[in-house]
Amino acid sequence: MLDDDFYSKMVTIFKILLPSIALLILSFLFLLPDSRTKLQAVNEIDKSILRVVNKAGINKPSFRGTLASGSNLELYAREILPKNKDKSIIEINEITARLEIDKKSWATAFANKGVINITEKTAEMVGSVKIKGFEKIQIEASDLKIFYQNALAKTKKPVFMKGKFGMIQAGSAEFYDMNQKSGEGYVLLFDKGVKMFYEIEEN
Amino acid sequence: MFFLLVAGLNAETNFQIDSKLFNDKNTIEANSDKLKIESKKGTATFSGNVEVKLKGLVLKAQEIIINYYTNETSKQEIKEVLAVKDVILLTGKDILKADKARYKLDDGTIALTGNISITQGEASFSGKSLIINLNTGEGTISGRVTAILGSGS
Repeated sequence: MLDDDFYSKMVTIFKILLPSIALLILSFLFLLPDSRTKLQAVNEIDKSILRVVNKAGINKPSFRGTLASGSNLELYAREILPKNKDKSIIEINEITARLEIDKKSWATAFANKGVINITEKTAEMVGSVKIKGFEKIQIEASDLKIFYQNALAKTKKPVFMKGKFGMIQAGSAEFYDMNQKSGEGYVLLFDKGVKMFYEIEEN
Repeated sequence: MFFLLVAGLNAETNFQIDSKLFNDKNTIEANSDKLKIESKKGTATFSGNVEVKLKGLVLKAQEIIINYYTNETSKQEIKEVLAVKDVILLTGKDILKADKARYKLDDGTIALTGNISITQGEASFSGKSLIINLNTGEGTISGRVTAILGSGS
């Protein structure tokens, strides 16, 4: 029913891709004169990504490169706008991110809008959030909030997931990494009405 | 109306369920209030008004826990399905009720325990526990068995 290797790769992708989207938004901060804000914000992001980004010297809302792990990462945005005076809240329009761990393991994420709150350490994807990846995985939600410091992603709105595990529809969802809660593994929690379809394999 | 009441039996009582119902390969549909998948525990827990449908079979309970394991090819397979609280198993015309049901996939058996009741048409049985062999469709009810056999009015 559930493929461990598949899930571990999926979680790896989430752990890199989602903060990467946050990083894409944060990359705008490299253009800002406030280095204190920049350092505070990027400190919470995966260090291997940060090293590459620093080396690449991001100066625009896009990035394409190879991470220390060997994964290929591409990030694009149409527009990035600071939303408050101290630039702790940043809005980004039309985000696209693609992460490729290897030729068989990849995922692409898209959202109409993203909002990062540096104070709250959250990155929110809003409007037609779509994630597609290897093994025909597909996730759709109207929004997705990422607590990047705690490796937690959640939505309080309807979510749709499709993949090797079948198809899951739910009124809300949470994904979190137990390593962040002095445990091991990960937890997927679906709530507010769950419908799951699973095709039994012929032996 | 005709009733036959058999009470005070401690011997095992056998009955037959259509095994084809269990062997159909098809899509499983599961509905519940919540679903929690925990990789470390190897469990997928459906909770709150759970209903699992497989062609010809409907399993209802307040909670259904699926235990899975990783096999030698890194694939995860279901080891056991445990249904607890208000368990109802509908198999064609049969209605089985119990406090708990444990489906072991390795030996193809479902063990129902606690306040067992089976309704097959106008006949009904109750007992302490019930073991169903999904390969043969045979069920064995044990403990103090009560049987009510009726013909319609």
